[in-house]
Amino acid sequence: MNVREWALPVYTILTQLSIGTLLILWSVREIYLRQFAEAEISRIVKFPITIICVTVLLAMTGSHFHLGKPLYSYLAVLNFRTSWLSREVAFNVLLFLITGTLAVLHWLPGRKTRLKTVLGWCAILSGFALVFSMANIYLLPTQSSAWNSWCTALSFFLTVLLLGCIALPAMLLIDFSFSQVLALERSDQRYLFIRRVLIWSAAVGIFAWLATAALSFYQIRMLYLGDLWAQASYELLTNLYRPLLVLRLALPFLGLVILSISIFKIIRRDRAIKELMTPVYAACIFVMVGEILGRFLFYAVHVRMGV
Amino acid sequence: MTIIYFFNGLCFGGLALAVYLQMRQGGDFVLRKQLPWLAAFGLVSAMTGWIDMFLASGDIDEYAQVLSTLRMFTQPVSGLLLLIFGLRVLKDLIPLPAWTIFIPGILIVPISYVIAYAATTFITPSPIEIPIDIWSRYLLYLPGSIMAGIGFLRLWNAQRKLGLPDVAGLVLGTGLAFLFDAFVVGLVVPAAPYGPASYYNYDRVIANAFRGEQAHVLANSAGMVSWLDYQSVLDVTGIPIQFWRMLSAFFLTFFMVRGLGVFEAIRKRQLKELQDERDRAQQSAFEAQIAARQSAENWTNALVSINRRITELEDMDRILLFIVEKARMLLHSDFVGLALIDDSYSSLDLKYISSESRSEYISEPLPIKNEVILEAVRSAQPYRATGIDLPGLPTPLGHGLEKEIQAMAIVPLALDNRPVGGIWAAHCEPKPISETDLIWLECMADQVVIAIQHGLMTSYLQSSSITEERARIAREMHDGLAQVLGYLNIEVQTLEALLRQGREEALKAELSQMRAAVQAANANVRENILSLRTTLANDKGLASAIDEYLQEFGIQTEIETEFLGEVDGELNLASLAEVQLVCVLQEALANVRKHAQATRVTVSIVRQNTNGNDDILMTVMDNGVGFVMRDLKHRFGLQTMKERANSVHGTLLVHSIPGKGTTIECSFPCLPRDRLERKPRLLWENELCVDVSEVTSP
Repeated sequence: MNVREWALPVYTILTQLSIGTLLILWSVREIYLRQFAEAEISRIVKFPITIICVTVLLAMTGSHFHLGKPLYSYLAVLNFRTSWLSREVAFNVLLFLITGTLAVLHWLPGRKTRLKTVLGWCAILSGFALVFSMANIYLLPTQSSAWNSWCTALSFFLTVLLLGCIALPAMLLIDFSFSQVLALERSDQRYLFIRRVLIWSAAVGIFAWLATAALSFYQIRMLYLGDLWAQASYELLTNLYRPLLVLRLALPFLGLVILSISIFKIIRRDRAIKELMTPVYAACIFVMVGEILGRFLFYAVHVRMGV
Repeated sequence: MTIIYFFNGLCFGGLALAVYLQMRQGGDFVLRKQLPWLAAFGLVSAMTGWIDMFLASGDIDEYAQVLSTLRMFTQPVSGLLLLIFGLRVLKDLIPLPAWTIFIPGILIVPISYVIAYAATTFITPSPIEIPIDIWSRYLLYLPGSIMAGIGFLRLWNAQRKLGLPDVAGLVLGTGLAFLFDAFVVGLVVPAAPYGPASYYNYDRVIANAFRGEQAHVLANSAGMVSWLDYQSVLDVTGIPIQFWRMLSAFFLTFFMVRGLGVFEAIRKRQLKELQDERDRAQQSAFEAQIAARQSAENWTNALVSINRRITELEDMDRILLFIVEKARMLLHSDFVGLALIDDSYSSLDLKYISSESRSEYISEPLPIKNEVILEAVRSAQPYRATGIDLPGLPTPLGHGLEKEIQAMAIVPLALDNRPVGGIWAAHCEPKPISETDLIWLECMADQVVIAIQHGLMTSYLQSSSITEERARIAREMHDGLAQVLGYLNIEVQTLEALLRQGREEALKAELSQMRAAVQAANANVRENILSLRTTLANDKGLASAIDEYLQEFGIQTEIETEFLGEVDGELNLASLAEVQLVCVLQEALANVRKHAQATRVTVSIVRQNTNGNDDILMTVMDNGVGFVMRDLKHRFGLQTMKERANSVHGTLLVHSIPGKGTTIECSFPCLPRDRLERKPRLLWENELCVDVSEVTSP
């Protein structure tokens, strides 16, 4: 893969990371909105939502490296009715606009809790639509057997879940540490919130990894039993790319183990929350690398059908 | 090339050795915690360099595979050690700004992509050593060297601001050496069919495959040129990258070794500064001790001085004013006041004040209205308040203290468990009154009470003495003059009878006896008058008073007198000693008149030094009949004189030989010199001191 080809993993992974983080963040927000003060929740959410917006923007920027003529990228939305690619682009723009509005709302004074809630869920819905459009691009009958399967969409959504579970704790920890360093505010409630987010994230992350692993084995089996092109993909995956396949599954597992151990120590109060930064960063990197490798393998085992 | 690799390994080996030796020296200095990582990095890098040397020599083909495999471990390990060292240098040497906490979070995504990309390059057809070499450099050496370089540059900036140019220069050199290392070791990589340095090479390879001879031209036209690989470095500089790396290793080792020396120098300097600081602290403690001792001595001297004044029966107003003054001076207060409860026990009147401008006794009743002072006196509890906890202090107090009070201490006075007044000290500056100050003020309060008690006792003794003296004079008149007058009355009756009988001879004899009795009575009366007249309140001093008394005695008794006063100025005797000296002299002269039948008496007063202490020796010597010394026990006058002398720690010796006169030597101890030196200063140092003639003693 050259730079142009790497633009796709960059775009898809960053987009899915943003959507996953937003999904976890908004779910936790919804659960704890009644337990914590609204102002405190807003302060906690402000930094991650800003990062999510910036990440969506970065993903969109990265995707342009894949285009032959980046300046005409806006024309892609014109075929919204017929093209999944156009829908993908349109939902991506929508996602950016909504997350941008949410970020601005959180930085501006005023509560507007209900508006924020609605906008957040709208952003998540547009994100889901985006991921679904993204997956459908690869579900065309003329595409590779490795792609043209419902597994593609499912794997994309599992990536959304897995990356969201691992990215949100990192974002919250950075913000928490920064506010502690500057002694900006009392952080008791934030500590409690992060603690609960960590537990939820680890639980959902482990579920997502188990599902991903199961899906990967199912996909390998399908390729093995599939047509000629599928078997070619199978050969690539199990021979040339086998080390990467192992890494793709092992690294996220390792990351989640590190995260779980850290959370276990947090629950037992063996550690200050600031000391979790290194293990959470390490877990984040492991999961990210695993998912990027997974996306690399997704493109690498593609065997084109026909001419 | 073999030589280059050898020196490369040598430099890193030297670095490891120097760092190890520095570590063994111990001490707490900058970089101490990071040194083990640097030493390990130097050691593993030296191993890598020498493995390269053996591989380049080509003489050990049978071990080439083993060495090559070993290198695949040593290179990433040395890079990892450098990465840890760099991270610690950047993080620990100087605390990072708060915003840098975001950097790891921001870098997570790019690092993940780079690692993922690096992982994909291991499946290319190139030998495994190539991706290991390349990614060790990109992912370990490059960030490690950059972080170490930035860490040292930050340290350089800090040293520069501290005004340590020599240290800063070496630290700058170390930082630049690491940045140079980052470039030549971390950024320049071998050619490979993947990026980033050889990405375009890869395209060029593809282009060569498909375009043949025209590939080079096409590659150039499309911007596909190689960069930062070994070949491009050789093309640009004409020198292989291995030489630059050796140079980098040399710079790194040179500056680090020199830098370690500087760090040692810094450590020594810090040690010296600590020692100096300790010395200063010791000196401060010593000075504080001296000051405390001096203060205690001042307080002790003041207390001794006060006690001396009390025992010397000095006027009580003077004593109390002196106490107030002393308290203000020793407490460094702006104001000290002493108030006493009046006779009717209804009002607390301010009596004595001392401030910067004046110290005086206030004769007019001036009731204290301040509740804090009144409450302290009423409750008989000391009170101390400073700064914000000053509740409703008198602001200002007046009487020399017109400024606002910042701190105050009040000590009540109690006599026989009854409150009699209070003494207080006030500061106008925000200077606290310590617990020690309060204790000293309590000591002064005790002295005030003692002075008052003593004054009352003296007053009682004075009235008692007057009564006794009156009784004594009455007794004297009854025993002396009245007896003589009675005798004369009888004699007159006898004379009338003799005159009627015409016995002229007997009449003359009786008249002669009467004359003698009248003369004796006259001498006694005169002597008593002289004794009563001779007091110690003579402005000319005791010696002059004695001289005048002696002259008067000579005139009255027709005994030739001589006074030898060999003392210049004051005799410097205690008041009681002066009284006893005069009494002894009067008694001695009375004995001379009555019993000695002397024609000449000499009195001398001499100052003599015995064992470092001054004494006044008074000698009374006559040329009378003398007496036998064994009769001394029966002479009650001499016994009384001896008791008088002993009562003031003096001595009295009597020497007498029948027919050769009598000599009485009486010695009285002088006051110590230090007390004499302070005496006038304390009395007259304050020009605004109250005129004692206006003060009424209790």
